Amino acid sequence: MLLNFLNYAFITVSILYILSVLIYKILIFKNYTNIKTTSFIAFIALMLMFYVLFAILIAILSPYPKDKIIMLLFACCPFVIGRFATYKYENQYSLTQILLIIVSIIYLLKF
Amino acid sequence: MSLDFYYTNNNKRVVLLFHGLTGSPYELKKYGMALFERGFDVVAKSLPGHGDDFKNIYTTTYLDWLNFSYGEFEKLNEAYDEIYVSGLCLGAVLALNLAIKYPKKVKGVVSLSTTLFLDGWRLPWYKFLMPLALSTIIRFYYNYPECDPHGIKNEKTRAVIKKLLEKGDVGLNDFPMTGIYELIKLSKFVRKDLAKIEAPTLLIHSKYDDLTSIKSANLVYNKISSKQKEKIILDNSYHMVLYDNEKGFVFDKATNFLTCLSNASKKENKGALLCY
Repeated sequence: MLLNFLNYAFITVSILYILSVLIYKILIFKNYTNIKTTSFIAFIALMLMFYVLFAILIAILSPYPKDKIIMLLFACCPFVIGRFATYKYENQYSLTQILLIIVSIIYLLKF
Repeated sequence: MSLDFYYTNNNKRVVLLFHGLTGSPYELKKYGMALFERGFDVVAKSLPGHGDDFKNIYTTTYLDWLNFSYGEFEKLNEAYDEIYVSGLCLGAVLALNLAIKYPKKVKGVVSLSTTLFLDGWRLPWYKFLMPLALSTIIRFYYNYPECDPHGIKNEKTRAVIKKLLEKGDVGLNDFPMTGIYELIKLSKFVRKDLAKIEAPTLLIHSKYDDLTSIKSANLVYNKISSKQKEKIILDNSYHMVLYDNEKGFVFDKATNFLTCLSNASKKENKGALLCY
């Protein structure tokens, strides 16, 4: 029951994260020093925080060792990408982050 | 437009000044002039990522700042007998680092609004997300816009600085998260070796600093090994102590401290004179 709820919550925050990054990239980027847009970026950060949190909780509650490991890897991904990301290749790293989140949603829907 | 300055009267003593994150040597001009009037040569240059094109700050790392400070120090070391270092905010951290790197050569440190932690009262409600944002791709999305009080309690001065910032003449009008990320890395780099500081040190910090609380000054004060150290807590200023209500007091304290150290170093019983 709790695991099911977490799965839905994980998928919801993942989709919200992807959508908000796309909105930011397409609509807001050129005007990003405005105080409202920085609050919007705080929302993106919040979604990413929940993404990591839910991935860890799913890993803890999942009965299967393989799923535990894979969900923990997904939880670590934002930090690994953040570690290597550079300003020059920021778009590529952002895209990688989004693709990994999509893969994590697909994985979750399958298990 | 370069805001760098070098006040020289061929003195044998010099003060190397560093400005803060997103700032420029402009913020040090009056302070530099006060030191110059007391017989010190004074040097202040824009830190990497700051000068003419502020966009460079996005690609600048804390190692660039460190190497810049080492380079400037080495240049002065060839020409001067006594070198003192001072800085504001990020510049204070760089000044402290020079005292770690060159323990025998740095004769004294004046550290203003030392920024080792970003925990001031002005930070936005979502500051709890900062560690996550800094360690993920989000740090490239985020710029925190400069907003009131701009680190200044004095309303008249604040209005003037606000206009200058809007024009982009004296600094960047917002804090890029990438710059904050590098400042935090620099802070960690310096914090671990604070005990190696033996040079006489004066710390000036406001109780109501909007960007960094007095925790930073307290940490430095408690960890450094300097026999001569003093911590002054201001209560009528914010972060920009060189512009604010107590700027005269700050100039006096800093110039008196450095002058006293310089006089003491010339006497045979050097070290016996306490410069508080």
